[in-house]
Amino acid sequence: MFSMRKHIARLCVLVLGVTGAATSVAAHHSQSQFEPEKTVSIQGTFTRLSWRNPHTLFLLQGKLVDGADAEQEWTVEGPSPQQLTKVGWGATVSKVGDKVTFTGRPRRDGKPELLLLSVTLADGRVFNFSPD
Amino acid sequence: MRTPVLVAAILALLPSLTGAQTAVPPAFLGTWASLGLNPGPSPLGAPPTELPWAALDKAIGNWMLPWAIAKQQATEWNTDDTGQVCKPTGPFRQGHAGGGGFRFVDAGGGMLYQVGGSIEQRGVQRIRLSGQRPRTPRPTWNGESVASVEGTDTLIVDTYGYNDKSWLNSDRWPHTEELRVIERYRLYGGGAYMQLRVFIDDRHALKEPYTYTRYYRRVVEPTEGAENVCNQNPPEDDLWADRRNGLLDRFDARIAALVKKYENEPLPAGTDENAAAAAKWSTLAAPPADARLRALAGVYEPVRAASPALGGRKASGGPSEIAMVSSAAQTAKARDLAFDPAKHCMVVGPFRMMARDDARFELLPTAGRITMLFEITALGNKRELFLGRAEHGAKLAPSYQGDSIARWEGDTLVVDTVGFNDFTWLNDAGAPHTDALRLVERFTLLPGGQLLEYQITAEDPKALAKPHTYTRYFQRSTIALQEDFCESR
Repeated sequence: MFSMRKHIARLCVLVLGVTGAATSVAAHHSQSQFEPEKTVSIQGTFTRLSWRNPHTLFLLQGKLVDGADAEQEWTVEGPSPQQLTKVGWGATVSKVGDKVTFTGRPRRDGKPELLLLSVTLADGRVFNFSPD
Repeated sequence: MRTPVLVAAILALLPSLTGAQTAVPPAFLGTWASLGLNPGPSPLGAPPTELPWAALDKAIGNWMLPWAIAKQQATEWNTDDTGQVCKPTGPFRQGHAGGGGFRFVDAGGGMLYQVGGSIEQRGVQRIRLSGQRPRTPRPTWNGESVASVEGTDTLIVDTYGYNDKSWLNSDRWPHTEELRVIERYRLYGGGAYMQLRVFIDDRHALKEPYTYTRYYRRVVEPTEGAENVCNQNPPEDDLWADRRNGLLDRFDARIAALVKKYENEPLPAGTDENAAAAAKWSTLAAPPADARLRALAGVYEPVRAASPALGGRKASGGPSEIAMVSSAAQTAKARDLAFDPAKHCMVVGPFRMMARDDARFELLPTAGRITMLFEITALGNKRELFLGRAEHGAKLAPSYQGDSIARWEGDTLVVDTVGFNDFTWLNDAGAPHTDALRLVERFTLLPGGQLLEYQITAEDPKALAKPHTYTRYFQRSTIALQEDFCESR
């Protein structure tokens, strides 16, 4: 978990640099519904994938990694399809039924939703990105 | 041309007509990149950015009235967000509240355009460089902006007339149509940098106004930003729509439960002594049996005189050529045309209304009457043309639309109207009429049912030298009347 936090800090620096571009898109929406510091990991199976602008959205039947919670439907919001494609996780890579592990920031009110920071596929590939 | 369009066109022309046009200092024009979205040093040691993005998210709550805080909390951060489906998000999240750069473009005619962000979500800020801020604008995502220039380094943009759909930042903070935003742009560092100070107020949502700053760096031209198209989404598999529908379903269930609770609400059994009268009135309210009346039902719009739809027929005459008796002519001459009821969203009366280019109306025939609705409700109001009544009431209270009785002469519906008040004018030049005004109108639906021939004759021996007649044609329209209350005029 500690290394993930360091990773996020690095991403923030990156975001700072990018905002100088004249046409940079502003942060699309607030992340204040999510825990600002805390990250959790969930693992489960894709039940639906939506590769739409401005944000991808994934439904996952799963549970917290190493958690005692029951399996339930998690809603996970990711960056734009373009950003995900850029890091190598394009729309054709995963499909419904695939196993996956997501790491991200959970909602403060405890609803099973996650703001996605990192994906680990069943074959071990890992993709990291910043939320936008 | 529809009146709102005309008014907008006149407003746009005003600066050039009055010569009051202000030139934009050229140093503002061009591309500006956002700095200071996040905390950090400001260029050339300027004061640090006040309330950068994340801090603004949190701080706005300090100024919100309790209802606005409650609304923010009742807003679903994703499913209520138009931005999640690439629809407009308003100027704040794509603009200074969120960050992002923009271009200032001199659009000519005293207009400065601010173009930036995702255009399909932000649109264009069109800034008028003269005049006063509007008091009763038609609400839009970007509002109406008026700017003033101070010296060569300060531009102040004053915006009012926002709709209430946008959020003040990305954390759902609401505002109302009373939102007012003043942006002060100041150049410094020899024109290489710009400070923006934003002032925000909303008398319905905020306890007090607040302010924050942003910094911008001039980008050396020419610049080419990457294309920024949000809606690349194929319509199938719309998970966001499903989520929103799911949210609405939950609330549908909530109100359905309340409705169900009252489904067996008791009402008294038994028969009232007015039952017979009630039955008669419901008969009159039913759709008409007469096929001629049923054929009249629908929306009509004026046909321009040169339209081929007329097939050689010609609209003729109009209210402007009225011959008045001398006392009436004097009254007209003495009138101040600035107080024309038509310019103040007041009822203009049938004689004038039916000659207007924007007189779209709808006829709703029932067995007992024809209700006539006008799209421009403020000017046309509503008329009731009563069927099956041979005489006007003996004692009529004077009214704007008078007492109308309708009868058939063959396939022509003849409407006779008396009982007018004398508040309306007969034409744009202030021609008066008295309570002796009588209107006779003839509605004839021509074969094919698409074209309505309309003739109106005004008689008023106390004001008109002789009866005055004009003719118009109306085309059946498939477009429903739109709501138009004349609010923004």
